[in-house]
Amino acid sequence: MEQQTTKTYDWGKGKVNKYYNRNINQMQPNTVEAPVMELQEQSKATIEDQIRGYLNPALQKAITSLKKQKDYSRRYVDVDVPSRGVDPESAWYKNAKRNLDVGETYARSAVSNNYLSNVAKQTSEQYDRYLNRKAQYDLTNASNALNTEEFNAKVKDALEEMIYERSVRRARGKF
Amino acid sequence: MATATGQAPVSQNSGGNWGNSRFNKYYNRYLNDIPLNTINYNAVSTPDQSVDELAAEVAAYLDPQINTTEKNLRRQMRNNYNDIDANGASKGMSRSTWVTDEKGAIYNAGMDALADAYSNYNSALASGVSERYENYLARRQGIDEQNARNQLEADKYNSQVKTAQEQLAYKRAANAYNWTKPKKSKGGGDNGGNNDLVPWLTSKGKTVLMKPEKRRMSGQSSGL
Repeated sequence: MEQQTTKTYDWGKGKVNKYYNRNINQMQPNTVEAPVMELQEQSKATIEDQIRGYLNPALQKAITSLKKQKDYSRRYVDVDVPSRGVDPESAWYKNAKRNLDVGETYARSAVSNNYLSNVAKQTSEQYDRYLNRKAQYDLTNASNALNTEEFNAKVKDALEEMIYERSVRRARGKF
Repeated sequence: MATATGQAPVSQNSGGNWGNSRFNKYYNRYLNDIPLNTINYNAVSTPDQSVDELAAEVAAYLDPQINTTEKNLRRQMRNNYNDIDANGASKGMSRSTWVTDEKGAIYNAGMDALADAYSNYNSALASGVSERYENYLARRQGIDEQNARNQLEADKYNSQVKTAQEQLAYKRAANAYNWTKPKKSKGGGDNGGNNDLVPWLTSKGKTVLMKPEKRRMSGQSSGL
């Protein structure tokens, strides 16, 4: 309920003034409060953290899988070494292992780049939607506040009018 | 989010201070008698959903696909390796660079395929979570807006009901006071009035003064 400020009026009639001023500061209008919709604030950084939070496990799973694939292939290379009578310290063997590592690096790079691309895209889109939504919340709140102020102004006007009429009647000895 | 109390606040407005105890007595009596028919609004809600919760749901239907894909790729790679070994042996090329080159090509193709599969998985997870989270926020926004509108309408209605109740109580108290106004004695003043009598509208349309106790016994409602 809104607190009225103390004020006095002079209607040119002693009793009217007395009754009006006594009641205008005492009677409270039946005002209403505007409902406020609240939207949780989000920054780009918090949105990005959120997105990384659920995409990162998938990235780690991919990296683990690629390593597993490489290790699996490496066993084939290792088996080839004695079957070919190749020296484990030979250039062929080292080259074969290096190729496995290079293959894994490329694949991991592809997955990581895709992850970063997804994080950037989702962060941008989600932040954009957040700003749109915030604007809509603010507009709705402003509209409700205006609606409430209009209503309360009418309530206060009606109350003042009513107090005046009652004061006049009361000054005439009637209710 | 909207304040969803479900009960609109109604301020208490006194009948005013008119310096007359008899009138105040009537006013308070009528204010208690007149029902205050306020309304409640039903605040609608939707279950909270976090991004992590949605991500788990989306992953739950994507994981079986990626697991199957991964298994198939690995099996295919193993089969291809074995085929190369068999081919090399049958051609007497087991120790040739042809085998090495072929296996390297199989390996790189397998790694690319796996990286693609996981990239697709990651993209599907990102868009799936984003879509569902957006649906949730939009649903929540719609509910918040409707709740706020309903709350404001209910509060305004209840405010008007309260004001109407107070005005009716005042009007009836004024009627009661004027009907029972004591005749002024020489000394003046406001004593000696028929304080307990209230005006009453009879079934024949006449207004009479009646004690409240009798009124209750008659089971009638006030016509004023």
